Amino acid sequence: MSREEASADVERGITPSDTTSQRSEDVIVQFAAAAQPEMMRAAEKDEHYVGQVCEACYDAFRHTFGTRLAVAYQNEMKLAGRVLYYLLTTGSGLQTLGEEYCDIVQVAGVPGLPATPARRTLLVFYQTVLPYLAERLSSRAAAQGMALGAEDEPNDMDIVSQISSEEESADREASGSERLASSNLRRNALEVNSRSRMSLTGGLRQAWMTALRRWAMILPSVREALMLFVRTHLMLFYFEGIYYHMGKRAAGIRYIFTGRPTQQRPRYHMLGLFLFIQLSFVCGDWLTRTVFPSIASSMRSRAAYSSVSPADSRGIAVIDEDGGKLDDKGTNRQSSRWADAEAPGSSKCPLCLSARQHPTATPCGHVFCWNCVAEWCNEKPECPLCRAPVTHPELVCVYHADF
Amino acid sequence: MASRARLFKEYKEVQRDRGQDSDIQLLCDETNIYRWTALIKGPTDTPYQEGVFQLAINVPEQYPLVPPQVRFVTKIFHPNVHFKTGEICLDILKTAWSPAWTLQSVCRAVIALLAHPEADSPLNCDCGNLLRSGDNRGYQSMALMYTRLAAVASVPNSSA
Ligand SMILES: [Zn+2]
Ligand SMILES: [Zn+2]
Repeated sequence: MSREEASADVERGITPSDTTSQRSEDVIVQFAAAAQPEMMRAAEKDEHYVGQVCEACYDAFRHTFGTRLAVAYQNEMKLAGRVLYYLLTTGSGLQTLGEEYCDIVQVAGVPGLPATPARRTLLVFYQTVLPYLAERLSSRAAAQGMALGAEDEPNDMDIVSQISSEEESADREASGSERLASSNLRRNALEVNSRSRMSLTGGLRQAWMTALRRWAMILPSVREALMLFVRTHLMLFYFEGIYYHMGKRAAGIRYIFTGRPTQQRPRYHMLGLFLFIQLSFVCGDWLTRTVFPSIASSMRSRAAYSSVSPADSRGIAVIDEDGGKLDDKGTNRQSSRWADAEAPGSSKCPLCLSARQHPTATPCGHVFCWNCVAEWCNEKPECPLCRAPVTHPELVCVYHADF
Repeated sequence: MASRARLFKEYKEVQRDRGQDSDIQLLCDETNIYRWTALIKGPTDTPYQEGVFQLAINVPEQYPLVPPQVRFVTKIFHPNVHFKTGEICLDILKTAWSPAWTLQSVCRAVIALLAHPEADSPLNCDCGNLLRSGDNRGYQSMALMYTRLAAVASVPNSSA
């Protein structure tokens, strides 16, 4: 079924005035709300296609303006691809490819009417431009704030770059849904922005400076709070199953299922429950942290990105996988461990760095754990040590061999 | 392969071998074992030899099936390092990755890259062009200048 047909069908089906006035003998078709799996599958598909469009935009830009400019405007290209995709689908009143694939259609409000153009435009804006703007404004504010702080101590210059690069990596990590969720960040960023206008006109430059500096300081915790917010939203989705994206919640756009009703579709209440448990643990952890001031201060120093010094690493207490506390005492056993690492009969797997479990040999004669080497062969069929080609059937488990 | 278990192993080895390899200092984030910082010394007989460079290492969950993301935090003038972002063009961090590499050996590979710039796959085009046009002296002096500007100031800080 083509996309136009599908949306035409839907409009006929769910517009009560239309059906009742013309053919009153017809039963009004009420479509069920879309289930969680469909919404998630559609979102995944859409992300995939958005990625393709973004890549195409980037390539086109690179061929026209050269690699240097393309790298500089990477984020803008991503934004362009995203806007293009959603404007051409949602914006022009069609299903996105993911929605079409899953037989779901956007509707607005309780009566289930198709979303108005204004609402759709709002949604596209929430999904594309807003996260980008929020990210941009906040990182610029933070960078300025750090630069201001660094004026007092010129040594802190590389912290600035550290912060900004930290952001870039966070940027890269942020998946689509997380990016959509930056409404909180947006509010803060806009606040900073409006504050800037006020101070520039009113001559409250000093206040602006402190605001910038504060913003750079609290940015990590804001990010953390944002992550929690995203999790909470996901938990809500698992429970109520209406809005997968925050943008859709904000724009009030929900989904109905227009496909052929099949067997009982799964619900994700259990996942929601687990998320709830996790979130309550995080909240409890946060509360205890703020209750004990000593730990809180250490957190703050981390937030301020104190530059790493080798002395820092000395104080770390780490629990190893056996649950034992690992510290400098480990050096006592150093000589013996060193010996067994060096010994020719070493039974250590070079992949997990522990004793080999179910030793498995490749045709080239290298021996690993079965799990380690089999997993790697899924990634790439070559020996991790010498790159000789290896296929799964060639792996040989070597028991009863003393080496 | 559990990435966490493997990182703990690497952490233990780093603690054990501390001081053996004075060119590389690997520090794990106090609260997140997936974040590391490395301080590497520039190799001798290169324009980087006076500098200490900071690398930010982000380890993905699927490690060691996929390579860690390594970035220069300290500014460096090198054909295979992006001047602004610090991104590194090194095959073992991309397609030629093998799970037998550790964070320590990755740092060693980065040091080797500093000693052997590859002008044919430049991320820093200016630097690549200098080398490709045979202006070795120009490259050396630029690299030395940026080393002194960005990487030498942090020496007393890191050797403490
Ligand atoms: Zn293993
Ligand atoms: Zn081999």
